[in-house]
Amino acid sequence: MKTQVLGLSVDSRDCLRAWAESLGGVTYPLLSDFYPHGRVAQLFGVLRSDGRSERAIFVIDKNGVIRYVDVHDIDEQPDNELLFSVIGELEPEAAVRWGATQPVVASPPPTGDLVLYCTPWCPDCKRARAYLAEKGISYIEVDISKDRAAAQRVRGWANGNETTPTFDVRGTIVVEFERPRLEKLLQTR
Amino acid sequence: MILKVGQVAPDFALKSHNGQIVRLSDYRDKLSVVMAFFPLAWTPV
Repeated sequence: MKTQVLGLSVDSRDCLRAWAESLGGVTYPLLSDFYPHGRVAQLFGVLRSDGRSERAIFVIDKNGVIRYVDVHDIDEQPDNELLFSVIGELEPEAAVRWGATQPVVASPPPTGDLVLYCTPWCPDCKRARAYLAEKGISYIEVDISKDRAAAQRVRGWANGNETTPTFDVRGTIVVEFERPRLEKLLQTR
Repeated sequence: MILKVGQVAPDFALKSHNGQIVRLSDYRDKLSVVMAFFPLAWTPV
């Protein structure tokens, strides 16, 4: 498998070892973020005030860059399908081995020079549409209140929030209507 | 404060349940890494 999974918790190593044994063994390392307490969780911004870490997933590419973040409701399982789709974008072989039966993405994102992720009621989205119309820039719009797979993608880019508008300019993501940055990116098209 | 997409992940060195020291930088240029933080052992969802 070309993707390495690491489990992390604030448990001590002895506790993790005992737990792994009780599960019949685990196929990836469980890392003990016990001493200094939660230091790595803190580094990643996921140490809770009750001393535990959040239930969070970070996908890091081979260059050490974070490509996906999901901080999940602590009482729920994170969505595996979305995780597989992100991994698949980085490592297509891994996606197949992990049992994703479709090619890579749970819901294929639209392609085009500019994709705008919006909701119908968001005021900044209205400003974004007006701006793009004024500049004569064509785009594909995705309503994330209806397209929940797209909403999850936005959550992955926007630290767990469904922030709108979010722009996908040929693969470069701009969260919120950051006009200077957007203008610079759009000029290079 | 939660790290964001596009940021470089900070390196760290932690001991695994197998007793080995694991560093994020061990995987640089080799493998993508999925870091799965979980709250506590023995507390399945």
